[in-house]
Amino acid sequence: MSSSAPETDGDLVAATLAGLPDAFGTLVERYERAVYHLCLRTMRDAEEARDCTQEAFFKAFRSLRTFKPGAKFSTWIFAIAYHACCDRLAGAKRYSRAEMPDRADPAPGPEAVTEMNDDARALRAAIDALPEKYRTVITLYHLQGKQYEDIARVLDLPMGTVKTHLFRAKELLRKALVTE
Amino acid sequence: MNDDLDDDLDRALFALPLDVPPPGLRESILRATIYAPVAIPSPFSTLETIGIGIALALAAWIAILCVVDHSVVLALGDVVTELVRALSDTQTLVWIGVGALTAAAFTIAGTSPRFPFNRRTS
Repeated sequence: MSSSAPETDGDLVAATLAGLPDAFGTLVERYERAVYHLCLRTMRDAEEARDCTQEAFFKAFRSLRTFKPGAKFSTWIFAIAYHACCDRLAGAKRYSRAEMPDRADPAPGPEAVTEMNDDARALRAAIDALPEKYRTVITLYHLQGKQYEDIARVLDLPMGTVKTHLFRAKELLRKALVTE
Repeated sequence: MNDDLDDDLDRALFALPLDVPPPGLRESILRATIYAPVAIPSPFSTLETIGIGIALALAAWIAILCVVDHSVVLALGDVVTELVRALSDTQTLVWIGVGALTAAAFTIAGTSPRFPFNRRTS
């Protein structure tokens, strides 16, 4: 049994600011997978998702002093990552006049595939087929649970819009899974 | 009933595994953040650096000229002599004094004339 309670995200941020950089390493360890997941589901490109994840943590590290004590680190880092993705998507759209194609391979890597059964694979495919705004809301719902306020904060949308998007996303998923 | 459907979908959704980040991602994040070399701030502003660069280049150019052509040394000697003569002139010294007094007055008054290229203070 461990004698000390695990450090909270707020403690780790405070420790980093106090000059203990390893504390930030623990935050990276905690959120790397979730942030990468959000970036990959948003960008649908493994290389871009990697760059966005790196950029998100870099920006978070650089602006750690602006993190409000008491706020949720997960919401903060997801918001930074989501905006990094949006910036890249907007940049890509600026260069290609056409609508962004569904790029590259959004499929999970071999390790994730072995973790998934057929139902899960069908659900993943249905999520990937959702329009971007619904896909992002569902991805954040997957990451943050029923924390609608946090999802709204990440996406910078009113809570009502988030709930509506989530409702429609679930409807589309249900339809897609029934027709499978 | 709708709640049951929602529950089933939620259960399936929350059971989905997260994507696995590519190998080396964490290391590259740490290299770019906590292990990034700290940039040593330059003691000079950009304008100062340019000025120092120009001064050094001029000094090097004159030094090379002196080595290549000894008449340049004589010419430089003439310039220095002329400069010393000008500085020992009473009128020149009066103007230098007026300039120094004006600068002192601005300093004491706590104001300074505005130049278009005032240095940024950090």
